[in-house]
Amino acid sequence: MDNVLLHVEHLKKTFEKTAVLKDISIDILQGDVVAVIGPSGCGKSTFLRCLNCLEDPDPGSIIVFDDVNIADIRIDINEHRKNMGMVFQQFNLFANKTIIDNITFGPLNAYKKKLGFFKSIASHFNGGYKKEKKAQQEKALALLSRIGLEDKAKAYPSTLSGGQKQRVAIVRALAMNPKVILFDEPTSALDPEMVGEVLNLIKDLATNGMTMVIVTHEMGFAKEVANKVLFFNEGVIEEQGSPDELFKNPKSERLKEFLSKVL
Amino acid sequence: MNNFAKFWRQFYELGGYHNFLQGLKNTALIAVLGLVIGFIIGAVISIVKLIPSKHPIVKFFKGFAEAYVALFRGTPMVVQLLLMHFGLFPLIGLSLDSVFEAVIIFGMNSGAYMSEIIRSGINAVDVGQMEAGRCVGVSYSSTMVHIILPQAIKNIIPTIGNEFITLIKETSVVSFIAVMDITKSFQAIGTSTYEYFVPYIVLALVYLIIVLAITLGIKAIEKNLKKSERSGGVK
Ligand SMILES: Nc1ncnc2c1ncn2[C@@H]1O[C@H](COP(=O)(O)OP(=O)(O)O)[C@@H](O)[C@H]1O
Ligand SMILES: [Mg+2]
Repeated sequence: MDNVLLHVEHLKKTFEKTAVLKDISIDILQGDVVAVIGPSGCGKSTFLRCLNCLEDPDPGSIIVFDDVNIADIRIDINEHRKNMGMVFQQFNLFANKTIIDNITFGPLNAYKKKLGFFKSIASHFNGGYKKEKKAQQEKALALLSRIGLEDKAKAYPSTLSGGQKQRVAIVRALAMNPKVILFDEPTSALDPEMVGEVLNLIKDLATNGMTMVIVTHEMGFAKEVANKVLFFNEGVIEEQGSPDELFKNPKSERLKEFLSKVL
Repeated sequence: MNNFAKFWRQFYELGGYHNFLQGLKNTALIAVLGLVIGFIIGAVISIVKLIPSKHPIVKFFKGFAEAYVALFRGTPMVVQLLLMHFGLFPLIGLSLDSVFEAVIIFGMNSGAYMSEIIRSGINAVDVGQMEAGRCVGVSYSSTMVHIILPQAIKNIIPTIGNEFITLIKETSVVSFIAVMDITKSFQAIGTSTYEYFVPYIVLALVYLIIVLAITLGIKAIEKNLKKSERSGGVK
């Protein structure tokens, strides 16, 4: 199957003898919007953070992305993280950089890395870097205008509202042209009135075909946007399927119990 | 002639202020360059200590960093000064200008303290900042340099200011290796007039004024930094 974007096989993660993820296997296809749901502490964040190796999966785990096993610690993970965006619950915008610099930081770093050490130094003198910077800034401004925040380009993150910060964090991920974006409870730290603006942006991405894995407690949103739902429980995928299957006909007792609490 | 008149005659009319100016210059030189060298050494040590790797080479450097800090924090400044000036430097055949020697020794000493300051500053930066950097494909070291260190340094500017003040006060021991500093310049006046009370009171006042001026300077810098991050983008 050539439209498999992320192939996860026997993914395990142990923190100091506690098995948090117990043998997870799943394929994420091009264009999939996967919602990950489950009680808190069941390993949803750990699963997401293993996908881009923010947490090193246990040896033997397999995560095939860009045609290589990125769970193998010998590969250069930075090369593959470029293609895999991540959006955090706490936004994590760079506090010492302006909004526009937050967005261009990753792409400009990638440009320098591609050139290599000497050529990247040279690029500061031969105008190459300046040109790239200008191009990236224009792209960043276009992204900002898409979320209606172009007037905040020169502002610092501390001056933005939570909803604005999270939308900037999403376009910061988009600026890398990723193949997939991972979201870890993107609206959980927001005031209720700001949840909508962030969910709308994510829906917009879904409409445009972006592949996404979203850990969320917003069941309505999961039903509406996801084409696949994974119900996690105690470190395993207890049940998976389309939103209709899972929300209308839950099979396991655990999922029934979980849904009765959250719906 | 009263004691103050004696002091003034020695300080002004008999040229004692030449020593004072020389001493002021040396004190400033040792404290400022010591701080800069200390910062560089401290930054390197703190980063070595924080590298999340168990590689044998990294481990060796970590051990070296631990020993360095323990050594310089565990012995008095004067002892380090005497040991290097009269022991180590002659042993390895290094003969430097005494002021320059003092700069190096103060820098090395300050590096040990600075490493702890910088480390705490780095630890105070939210781990999400590093993770966000790594998630746009940036390496650990580049994220450290461009994202973490700038924030860490901002956090620790008041503490670095305190370290600078400590250094200035500690330079008073360089007379042990025959460097003319502020303290020695006033001592010399006392030696000439056989009256020590007034010179030492003035000496204390000079230190006090310098320290207060620096304290004000640090406050101003802090205020400025806070303001820049609150700016809403309208230049
Ligand atoms: N860095 C860590 N060290 C030790 N235990 C951890 C760490 N991160 C998560 N855990 C544990 O792993 C379990 C799953 O956590 P997490 O993936 O954050 O759950 P969820 O996101 O589903 O709420 C929890 O019991 C948590 O305490
Ligand atoms: Mg979580």
